[in-house]
Amino acid sequence: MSAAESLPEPLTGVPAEPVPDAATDRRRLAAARGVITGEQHQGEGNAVYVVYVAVIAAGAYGVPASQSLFRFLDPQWMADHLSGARGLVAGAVLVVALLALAVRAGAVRGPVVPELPYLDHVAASPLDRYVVLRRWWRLGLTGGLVGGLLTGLVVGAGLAIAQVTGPVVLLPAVALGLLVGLLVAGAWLHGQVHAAVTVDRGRHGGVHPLTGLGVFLRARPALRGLRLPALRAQAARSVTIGGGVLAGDLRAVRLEVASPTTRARRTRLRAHGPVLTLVSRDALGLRRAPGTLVTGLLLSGAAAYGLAHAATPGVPSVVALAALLVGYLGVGQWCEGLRMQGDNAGTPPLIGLSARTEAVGHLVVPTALYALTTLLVDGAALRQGGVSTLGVAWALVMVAPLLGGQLMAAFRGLPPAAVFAPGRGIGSTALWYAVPLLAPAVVGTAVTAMLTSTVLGAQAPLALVIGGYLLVTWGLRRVRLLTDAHRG
Amino acid sequence: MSRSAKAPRKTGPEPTLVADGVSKSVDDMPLLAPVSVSVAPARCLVLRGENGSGKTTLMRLLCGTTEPTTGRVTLSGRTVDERDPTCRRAVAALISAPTAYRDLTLIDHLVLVDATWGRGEGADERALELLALLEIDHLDDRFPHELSSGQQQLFHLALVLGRPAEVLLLDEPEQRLDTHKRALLGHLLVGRKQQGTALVVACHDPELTEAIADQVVDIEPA
Repeated sequence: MSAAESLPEPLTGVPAEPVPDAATDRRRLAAARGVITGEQHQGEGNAVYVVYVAVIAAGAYGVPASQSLFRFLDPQWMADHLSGARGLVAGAVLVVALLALAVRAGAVRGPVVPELPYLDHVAASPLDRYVVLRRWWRLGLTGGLVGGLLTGLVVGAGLAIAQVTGPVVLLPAVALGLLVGLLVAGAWLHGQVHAAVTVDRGRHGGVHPLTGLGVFLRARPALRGLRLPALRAQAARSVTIGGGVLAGDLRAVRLEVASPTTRARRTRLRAHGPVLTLVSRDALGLRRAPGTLVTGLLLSGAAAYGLAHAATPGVPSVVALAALLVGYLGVGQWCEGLRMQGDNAGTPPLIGLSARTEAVGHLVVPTALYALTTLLVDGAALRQGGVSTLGVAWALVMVAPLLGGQLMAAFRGLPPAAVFAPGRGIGSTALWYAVPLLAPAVVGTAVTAMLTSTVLGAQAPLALVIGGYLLVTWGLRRVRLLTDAHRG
Repeated sequence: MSRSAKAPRKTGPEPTLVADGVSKSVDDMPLLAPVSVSVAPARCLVLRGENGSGKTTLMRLLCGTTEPTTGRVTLSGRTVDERDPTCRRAVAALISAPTAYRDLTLIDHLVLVDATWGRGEGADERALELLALLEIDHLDDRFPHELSSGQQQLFHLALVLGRPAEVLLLDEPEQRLDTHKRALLGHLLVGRKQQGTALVVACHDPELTEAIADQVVDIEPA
């Protein structure tokens, strides 16, 4: 009998240290894995191969792409905007955003997620849970470190080859990449452990001693603190998300990823007539999801500034492209009502409005919030002299392509069978998913490039109006097609 | 294919919803053999049949969300098609669990549904009254994900009963309900029938069937 068998499941706080008999547990685990995999000596061959491929890809594709990007971005423009304190602030914001994303990802699917049968038959045994789970944590940690190192290498090499800086940047870039990779891996595990504790104790259950960014330094007790139901929940969610993505069932994916709403339950929706009640619904939904509201405001604010700035001659087109991608994500935060309508398309109606009217009604709140954000952010930038009046108007009108993209996304439905045809690969599936994102990004970037060119500048506003109209029309056509698709 | 009416059709008003020789096949796979049924205002037709016999498919045909392979479904003489606003206005259906807004409470859902049908003042009161009728008014500020499976079913019933309709189609509305709630549902459906609504209910519960049915049709597998 393993000494760990006598240990009770930790109920709260730091789990008790097992009586040291890890060697026995390791032998038992190796035997169990031998039964599962059919091999007596299991290495980490697959992981090593993945690292090998990642290194090759970083060298063969990453570095050339990186240096091309830096050449395209215009070294002078980068030096003006990203040097000194501005660069430090931008870097810090990026790292904090990455860490926040890793924590959120950990709450949905952390690094320690073995497959369900392994959890039910091996992790449920009396073996030391750290010994049982450490393989997944080590893979996650290695992934973070290798990813950070390669990212630092690719960015540093790109900067050096594009002669933005000297070759000496390679060393700090790699070191910084390693550090960020380590922190991201820790944040990922922190997110998983914190979420598991929150499920057990509730939102107001206090701070768990095993959470925090230093969790990778105390991985042993952190892994022992993970309960089986929490591990099973993440494993099942992982399967559902994977299946949902492959089948194009994005509703299933969203429901798995989203946190359940519990806020402001006493605030009631009031009836104000058919369409206004629908608009109030969307506003109330955002009030109950302040995180979504704020994320949308931050992303849309950044996008609005980027779009207004991109309207200035001499600014690289990639700024408009990045702003549109960020804007798509920002406005998308406010479009839950629209997505829910898409989810319900084809079912017996509960809402007494036509599908088109309902869809247009769901665009009111995102449009108003985007306009308000743009006026506030770009208005402030205008006073500071950072953008022009034309830039502010340009950012405002960009709401049309962005909303067209949201309509297309909410009503994209299931991918056609041709996407899964043999030989098409994952690229065609990814492209199918990305069309609602790419369409406004391509249209918006193209018309912004027209605006800043000396030859086509005068035609750009008309092109933007036509492009926006076409995208919204395309989106509304998707509403009709998906609403009617079931009848056949 | 035989179709047996277990109870004789009572004389009464002209049927409003008529399925005449409808069947459904997909890629030569028969889902529903040809069948004819009809229901008049203030009457209730109960569909029975073993699992897989095509009751749900017939319900989908009756509410116009899918098209029959043969035959025709009409509502007051007009072909039933869910895309037709007149049809949507007349037919309410609970065939599978409707998607709920995860950021709205039960009372919010009912107010939203009520308001979008343009029923005017009093949406709050009507919503609360309906929740009380189903004995879930104490759950009014719960979110859908905070309900048990039986409470979810009552909530789904409330959503469908909360909108105006001339014809009400319910696919196994008794599922996951306890004995008391099934009796309550029967009482509620009889009330709707007395108000003039035509009911078509697929049901496996003999007591509920006894309570609400004016006509019973057994659907046999295709």
